[in-house]
Amino acid sequence: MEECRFETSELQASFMTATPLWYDSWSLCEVADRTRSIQIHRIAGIMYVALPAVEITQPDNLVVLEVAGDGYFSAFSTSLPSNEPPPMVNGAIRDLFVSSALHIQSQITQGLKMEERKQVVITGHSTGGSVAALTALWLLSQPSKPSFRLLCITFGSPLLGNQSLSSSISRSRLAHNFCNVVSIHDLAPRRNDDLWPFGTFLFCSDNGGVCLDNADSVRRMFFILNSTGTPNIEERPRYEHYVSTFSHQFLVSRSFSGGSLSDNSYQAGVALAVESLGFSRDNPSGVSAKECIEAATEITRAPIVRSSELAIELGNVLPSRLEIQWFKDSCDGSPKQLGYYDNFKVMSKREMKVNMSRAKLAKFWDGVIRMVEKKELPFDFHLGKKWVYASQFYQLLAEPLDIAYFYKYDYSRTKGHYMENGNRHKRYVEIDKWWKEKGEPHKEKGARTRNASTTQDTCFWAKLEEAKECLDDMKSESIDEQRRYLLWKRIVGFESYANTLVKMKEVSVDVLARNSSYSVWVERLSEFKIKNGNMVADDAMEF
Amino acid sequence: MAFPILTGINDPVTSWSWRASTRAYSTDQYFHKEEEDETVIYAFKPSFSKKDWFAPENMSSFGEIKMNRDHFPCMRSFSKDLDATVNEAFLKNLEVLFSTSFSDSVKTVVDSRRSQRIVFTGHSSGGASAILATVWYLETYFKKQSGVFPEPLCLTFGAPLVGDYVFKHALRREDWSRFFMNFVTRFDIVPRIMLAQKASTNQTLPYALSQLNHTVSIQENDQSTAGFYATVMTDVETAAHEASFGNDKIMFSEENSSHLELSPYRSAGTFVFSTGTRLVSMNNSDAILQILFYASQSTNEQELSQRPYQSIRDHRSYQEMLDSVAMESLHHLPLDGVYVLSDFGLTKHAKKCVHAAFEADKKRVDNQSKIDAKLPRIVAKLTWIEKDYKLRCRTLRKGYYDSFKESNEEEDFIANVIRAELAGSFDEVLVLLKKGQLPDGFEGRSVWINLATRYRRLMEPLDIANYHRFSKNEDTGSYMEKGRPNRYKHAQRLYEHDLLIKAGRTAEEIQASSYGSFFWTEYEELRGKQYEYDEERVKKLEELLEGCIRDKEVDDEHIFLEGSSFRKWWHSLPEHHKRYSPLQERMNYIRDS
Repeated sequence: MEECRFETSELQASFMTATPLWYDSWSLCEVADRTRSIQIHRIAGIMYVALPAVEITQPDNLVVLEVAGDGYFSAFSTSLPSNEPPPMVNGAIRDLFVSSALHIQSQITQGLKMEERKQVVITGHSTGGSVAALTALWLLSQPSKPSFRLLCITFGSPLLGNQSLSSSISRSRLAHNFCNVVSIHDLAPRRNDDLWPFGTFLFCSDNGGVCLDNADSVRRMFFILNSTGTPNIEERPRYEHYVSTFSHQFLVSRSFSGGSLSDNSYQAGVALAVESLGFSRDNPSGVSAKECIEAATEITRAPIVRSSELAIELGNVLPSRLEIQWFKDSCDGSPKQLGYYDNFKVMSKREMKVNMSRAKLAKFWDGVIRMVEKKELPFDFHLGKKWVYASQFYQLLAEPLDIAYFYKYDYSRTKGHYMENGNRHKRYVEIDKWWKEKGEPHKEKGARTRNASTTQDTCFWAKLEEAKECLDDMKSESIDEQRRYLLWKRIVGFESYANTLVKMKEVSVDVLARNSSYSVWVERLSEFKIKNGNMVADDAMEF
Repeated sequence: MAFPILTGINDPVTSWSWRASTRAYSTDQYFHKEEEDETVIYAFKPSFSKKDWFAPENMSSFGEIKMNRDHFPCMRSFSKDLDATVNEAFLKNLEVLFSTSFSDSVKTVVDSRRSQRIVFTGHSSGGASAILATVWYLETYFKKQSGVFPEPLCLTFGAPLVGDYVFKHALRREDWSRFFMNFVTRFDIVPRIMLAQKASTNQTLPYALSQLNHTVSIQENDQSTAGFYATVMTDVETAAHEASFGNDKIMFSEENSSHLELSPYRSAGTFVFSTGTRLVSMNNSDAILQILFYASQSTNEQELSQRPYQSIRDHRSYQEMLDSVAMESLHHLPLDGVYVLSDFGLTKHAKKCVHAAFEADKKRVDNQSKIDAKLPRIVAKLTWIEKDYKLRCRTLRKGYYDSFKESNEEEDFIANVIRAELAGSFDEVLVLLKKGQLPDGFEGRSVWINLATRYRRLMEPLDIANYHRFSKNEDTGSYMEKGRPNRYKHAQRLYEHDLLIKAGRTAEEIQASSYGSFFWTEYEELRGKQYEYDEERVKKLEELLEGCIRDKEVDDEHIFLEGSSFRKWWHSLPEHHKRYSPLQERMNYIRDS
């Protein structure tokens, strides 16, 4: 089911400029710059914090944002792939931020104490805006989410940091808290090509405005503006002019009533957006601007479209998941008391069918993981509740079968165990990461009164297979004491780990089935212990 | 969309209503009644004192309040389970009306059966009273389709906005929207006032209201009026832009909106705008909002400086509108194309926004056809469960609830897949409804209500079985409190609404019938407990069961089978209980299949 597709870059801009937010922000920035001091005021129920612009003479010098340890940003989750550089910010801006952060925070906390509507706008012009952005980022990434709603509005501010900073902010779902107002004549935000934009950019011209909200499109627009060589006119009056025109003269129509209008409102919207930037539709930069705006719409929409397509596919593979669930349930109820892990290894007709379902699900999830990797899905896709849970349910049910399959067909001493040598499939590694990142594993809900419906450690069976091998090796005559010690340690380690899971009822009933590999192993272990006396353990202790 | 209620714009009832509305000015009553042939007109007297526009004790930013569900049961959204919001002062004016002979008078008209048509009309805030009086009439008389009542017609002239999008949605869902027609001259300030925050017009409103009154003369070039106008239009602009996003709003604007207080009010029914040379009618509330803003724009400073004065004058020029507009030039949007908007001096940009609002409507209709195209597949699945699966379970003498809960056979697996697939289909519709991406009338259609009811009765027991099979009641809580999916809650609301409207059932009867959905979860919960502790609940279950069976909420062919776990449980109850149980007869009788 589709939504109606409109060109929204210009609508966003019209909306933004129609709100009192930007007028009030600008007015306070003016005062801050004039008095060279932080201004904090309540206007119409909203608390505004304006930071003054400060002349920065040294060149952009990037410093690493300390996201670990006990620095300011220790709680900021970057979730960067390990091969990307760490997030970095302008060092001079960082120093300015450090000098005012705590003061601003305490002012906000005090100011909001008595207020029912807790809303804050942090703003600044030029470098003041950059400091404002870093302050906002800090407030938003506190270990406990702030108790107020926060918006950061900058005017003609230099960019704050590198690409990693920008993508970390998007991934942490914080980008929508930032709005950057940029005059098409202003060079300040697009002077340094190594720095990356984040948040929404509102480009203003005399004819109106356009909002772009992904970093690639913003960079592209910077590039177009750089190449047209629009003069860098004195900036402060420009912003003053835009703010007062859009806020007070909104009843003066800015586009002509004549001219043709495409019947397709998307096309019409793009054409109007290009005009709003002051470009003529026909000249080369107008054409580039048009392409840029179209691409921006596409970039914003494509991942959304793709994720709704995936939702339908998820529905299509649902029967496969239910089939495995059904297989598990009937194994649990069967008098064979083997559990679905061991039953699956039998690979008779029914298991073959289940195996096809396993393969189908694996293919679907591999596709999802690939799309996430290639950034074809919304940045925060894997944080969405629906997908975190869907992937989790899948993994809990299916990974034991993957392990069973591995030990039946693939395992050899040279290839190594499931958990070794990258034998475990990447999709599970990724899903594990999503689950951790979601950051709310099982809340302590009190003890389980019944066994979990699926074993909570999806690698339980792989660990058992290793322990099984250890026990077999122990029985062999040809191993030396050193090795025996290590094997025994692993056996005892797994034994106590498994005991805990069983006691907590974190394992599903299939693990405890009378004839399951686990039950058999437990039995063999106790036989082994009796045969060898507690000697083994005692001897081992003496090493 | 046609306007069957009015034979045309030159229907004499229009100008008659206007005349009645002006005569209402001088009544010392709150309403004025005229009667001729088969038509009765009630015209309401407007007020120009602030307390009648914003209730003084109301603390909300736009003077709004939720409607009372007991008095206005239809005025809500089922997908969001939300009551409509209206301006409290206008609602109070309606209450004042009820302290007069108004409702008796209407009753006499209805009972006399002489009239074919009953018109509610008014100018200015009198129009707001007319709108709410019409809603009251529809809720009181019209919804019960037993008995024939005269169709209402609500004609307003320069009325303020009264309700929010739920108000609008409910009227359209019930197909009542067609009874409302609002005339608005191009610059009239009154339909725009409710879009502005109460606090921002607090100072200037009393004076502006005094200027709006027909009976006093207007001041030209008045600073106070100019200030009032500018304040109102600022908020009109924000509201118009906000509405034009539709669902395409990106996260940033979402965050942005959360910092702002935006007017909840939206237009309801048809709006007929006068451009000065012709009349343009439309009923898309987003498009209407765009017109309310963009029709005030101009490139000409001189013209703009006249606007505050015009915005007052236009509120008083409905007589001229009716006199001067050539009656044959009524245009309908979107039918007649946006070119008719040129008369409003709309820019390309404005036309695009209006056009987009209509396109969004078209999209909603498209979505509906896509859903409708899927219905046969849904029906086929339901039929399989009803016919094949249930029959098979009956032959096993077990009932489909127990069979599904045990899930031993291939058929149980297929039933489970179907359960999951149907859940997906109904969840998808619910999401679209919540996001407003289906026509307002979608869920009001009997075909949908019947399908959703059939789905709920048939499949909910399976969901309950599934819930208890995986002991989710331990993890999550009881099914009814924590586990019941919204798709069933929604389906039940629709069903109960339908009962209320069509069958005229009382609230108590509906309450009793709703117990049907509790049957299986109540059984599951009681089953694990000792009879002594829950004697009352067991008795209640037994007592209400007959009614549920009668209403087809519970399938008696299945629950009394020999293999039914419900039957087994009942037999395990103490003898002294069974002896007096209303189920005794059914339980001792073994049905032949």
